[in-house]
Order: sequence, then structure tokens, then C-alpha cells
Amino acid sequence: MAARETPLFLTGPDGPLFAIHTSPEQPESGVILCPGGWHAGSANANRLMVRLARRLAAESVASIRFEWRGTGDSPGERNAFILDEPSPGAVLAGADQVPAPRSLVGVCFGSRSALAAAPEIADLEAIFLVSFPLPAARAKVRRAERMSLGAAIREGLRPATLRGWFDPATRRVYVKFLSLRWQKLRRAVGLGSSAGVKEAVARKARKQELDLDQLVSQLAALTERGVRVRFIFGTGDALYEQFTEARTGPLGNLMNRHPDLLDVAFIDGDLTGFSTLPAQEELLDMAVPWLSRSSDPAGG
Amino acid sequence: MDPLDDHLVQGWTASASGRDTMVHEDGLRTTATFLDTKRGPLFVAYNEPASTPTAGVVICQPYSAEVARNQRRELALAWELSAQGMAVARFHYRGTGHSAGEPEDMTFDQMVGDARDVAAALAERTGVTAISFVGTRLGSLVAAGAASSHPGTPLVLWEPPPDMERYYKEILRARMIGLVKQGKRSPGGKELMAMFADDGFLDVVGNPVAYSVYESTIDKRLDRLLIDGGTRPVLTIQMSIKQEIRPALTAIVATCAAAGIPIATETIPYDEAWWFGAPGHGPKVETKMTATEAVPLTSRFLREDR
Repeated sequence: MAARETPLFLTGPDGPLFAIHTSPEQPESGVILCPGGWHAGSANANRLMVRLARRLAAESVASIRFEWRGTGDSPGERNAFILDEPSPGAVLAGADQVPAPRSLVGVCFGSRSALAAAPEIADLEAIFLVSFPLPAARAKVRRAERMSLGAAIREGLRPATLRGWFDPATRRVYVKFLSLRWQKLRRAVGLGSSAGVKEAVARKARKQELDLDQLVSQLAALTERGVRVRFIFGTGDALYEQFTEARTGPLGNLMNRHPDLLDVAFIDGDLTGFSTLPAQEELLDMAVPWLSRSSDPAGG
Repeated sequence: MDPLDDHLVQGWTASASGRDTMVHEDGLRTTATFLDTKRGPLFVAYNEPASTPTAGVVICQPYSAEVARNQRRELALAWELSAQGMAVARFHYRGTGHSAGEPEDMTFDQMVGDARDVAAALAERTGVTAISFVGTRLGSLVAAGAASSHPGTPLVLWEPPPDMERYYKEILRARMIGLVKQGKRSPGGKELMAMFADDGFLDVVGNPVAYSVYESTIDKRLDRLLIDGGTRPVLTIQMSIKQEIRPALTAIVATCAAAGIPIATETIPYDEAWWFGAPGHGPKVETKMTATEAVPLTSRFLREDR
């Protein structure tokens, strides 16, 4: 089936947003494609969103892919994407453009924004969250506090640890770890304020715990609406470990209660930055039938 | 005025194909559309001044992963040039971005053909007869190739690869580093090239590099393209922390100057990570535009050399 692609400017909350609407001749449902942050634009890495939109159109699913304010062809200045400051308004601007029932696809920052917009989207059927950044793992902070110097050196010399320096997310964990070790050393020689550091760690842990609670609440509300939610992670991603840890708590309990609505799928290898072609293909092969099923209750 | 701000007076406006035009308060317009060509639709964005344009400029993107690093700079240039009275067209080569086609079908001639199609459409749309080209990295060669159809117009090359073998070595190095990050090993040179030819593409940190592009560009020489394109003012902009002009670029400049081409070189103190830099999933991802000096340097050159 031939798809028609139409460039347009959406009315976003802070100004116009560039978008491309893709529609089959007779759309049966619609998907809002929320790209990741950084410079990828609405096409995302290796035009992943373009390929997804065209494959969805072949399944009679319309879509809109847009560019965040200050990226791609959308005007405005943007110096950074901050995960804790998602842009649900941009997602909602796109939602008006596709027919119901609607689904959301979000990548990283886009997945946070998609989830934040979900409560406002009518006739929402499904959300496909790729590389959803969970609150940072508390276990790593605690581990950094407990690990002996010898164990830390041994850990630091492992090939897998050394490879981690190439990954920005893992690198940040290392820097945090080294910072904690340094503070511990300073305390040991009487230079640092032990109480201050402990309070800072506790404060950070409380904040992250609250974030996870919020996430679980948001997901619970979606399950009450009958919205299907799928998380996708690469088995080689740092986020995979974070998700695994988060799943041991209330998130896992919620998932166990609603296995038909809330699930997680894994793609072999690295999804961070979509850094391999096979991972991209696997993602598309997974997303298209799952999203087209949104308009087909029989699961076809 | 910040060229990328968005003080709209009319919001978007309707055209036959929808709300595809954005009008700025000083009358500058951005229109996004698909250009129908005999080889399939090309995605094109026009940035036009409020009054009749004095000239036209076609911006040729770099290739593959490099596009993301340059996209915002190109938009800033388009806004700046349209504010200076020029009509600008940016586009995605067939097989890339929003355009039709598959990456493995791309060739150098096709990329040049796309640039020429866009130049013809810009001329028809705006009535401008003099079209200049701006190209980045591999897009520099495309721009130089396409410019030969527009004698005498200025040409600007951002970080041109003066030596295609070196250009592809950098890409292969990026692939190797990408594999190391994944804990994998890359095959050696000959085996890798055989694999590249057999598969028709190479996976470079999630971006396909087409063998057809490699095959059709590996023998291209920038100096030859510039000389064959006829005498025109040329500006090359080197982006590197080291401010000395690279020897290979110096040689090209000397060859072109000897052939009577007025060619100038500027440097911007910034090393662009063309194939890397995609973020992980940290709480904050920096997206600040870099090497912005390229915009005023290019604008000044294009105004002065008209």
C-alpha cells in the first residue's frame, strides 16, 4: 500500500515543531514517534524512525515523527536534553495528527516524554519504550560505599570495566564511584565531613526511590486504562542492568500482576545509540507487529 | 537576531500539501517539502528571504553518521543566508534521511544528480539564476561536482576530505573502535574490504556505509573536481584544534591556485567527532551547536564574492 508523507509544522508548547506525517491510504490507527534527544532529529539514528514509519504504513498504521524544539528543523535554541525535564507538550502536539486508536513509541528522552504525555492522550492503546532511562541504580551507590580498595582495583582492571570507559552512561557511574572513593579516603584521614557525605548519599537515594515510585504509579494508571506497555532494552546496555535491578522491587510486582499489559523485551547486543545495524533491524521487526496489533484486538 | 529563534507572526501557513511553511517575524520563510524527481522524492527544506532573493545556495550534507553532527549548523547557515537576502535549499540525498531510496543504492553520481535537481528546483521556485553550493565532508565533493553546472558561482567547502583513502581509513577506524566498545574484534584490512564488497555495505557504529558510495568516490580528487568545474571563488574551512592547514589541503590549494582558481582557507579551532559522540543515557545530554564560526565565515564569503 502506498504511503503519503507530508512535512508540516506542529504547534508545540514553546513554538513550532517540524514533523512528517506518514499515512497509508486507509489508516486504521496512529502512532506518535518520539525520537531520542541529541542531534538525531526526527529520523533518529540511521533514519530508524523513517523506516519504522514506512513499515507501519504498510500495515495501515499512520504515524507522525517530529523534531524536539531546538533540534533538526524545529526552531529554538537547545543546549541540552535533561531526562528529568521531558517534553510531553511536544508529544501531545503530534498526537492530534494521527487517528485513534493511538500508540506511542519513545526512544530514551523520547520514552520519558511519551510516558509523561500518556495520561493526556485519548484512545491510547499501547506504549513502546525503547531504552527507557530508569532512575540510576541505588545499588551502585551503596556498592561504591562498601567496596574495599583492593576489590576496587581488581574490578577496575577487568576488561569489561575498561570497556565501560567508552560508554558515557557507564563512565558516569565510574566517575561517581571514584568520587565516592575519594570522599571516603578524605574522611579516613580526617579531611572530609562523614555526616555530610552520608546525608548526600541518603538524599540521592531517597530522590531516586521517589522517581521509581512515580514510574510505578504512572504504569499502574496505564494498566488500569488497559494500555499495553513494552520496555525494550539491549542486553549490552547499562540500562539493562538498571532495569533488572528496578524489577526486583515494586516495578516487578506490577509487571507480575499484569503480564498481559506490561512486559519487557530484550534485543541482543547494544541498543544505546542504535550502534549496530542488526539491533536496529531486530527492533523494527519487534515494533511493527506489536504496534499494528494495537488496532487488532485479536492480536493479528 | 538569533537565526534559530522562532518569533512567528503567522505561525505556519497552508499550501497545497499542508502546513508546510513557517513564517518568521521579519518575513523569512521555511518551507519543507518533497521534490518529485524521476528518481524518486527528495526531501528539501527551503529558507527564503522576505523579498526577492538575490541569489541561491544549495547546501550538500555530509554522509551517513556525519549528517547528525552538521544538521544544526546547516540550519543556522540557511537562516543566516536567507536573512542576507539569499534563497537556500537543504536536502537529503536519496537513500538518506526523509528522502526515498535505500542507502545501498547510493553513488557519487546520484548524489551529484540530487544536488543538481535541487538547484534546478530552487532556480525555478525563486527565479534566481546564480546558484552557489556549500558542502561538508563528502558533501564537499558533491558540491564541487554539482557546481560545475553553475559556472563562476562561489563554492564553500566545510572540512573537505582532501584524500579519500584517508577519509575511508577514518571510517574504518570508527568501525573498529565501535566494535571494541562492544567487546568485539574487527577483521583485518583485506578481510574487511572483501566483506565490505560482498555485503555491499559496512556497519559503522550503526550507520551503513555503502560499497557503491565507496567505489564511486575512492578515486575522486577534490583538486581535480575543482579544476574541472572551472574558475570560481572557493573557500575551504578546516575544523581542527591544530590551526596549521593540513598538508593535503595545502597541496590542493596550491594546485588549484596554480590553475587560476581563487581559493582561500580558514580554520576553526574545533575537532568534530564526526562518527562518534552519540550520547549514552545520562541525566543530561549536551546538544550545544559547535564550530558556529563556519556560519559567519561562509555568509561573508558568499556575500563578498557575488
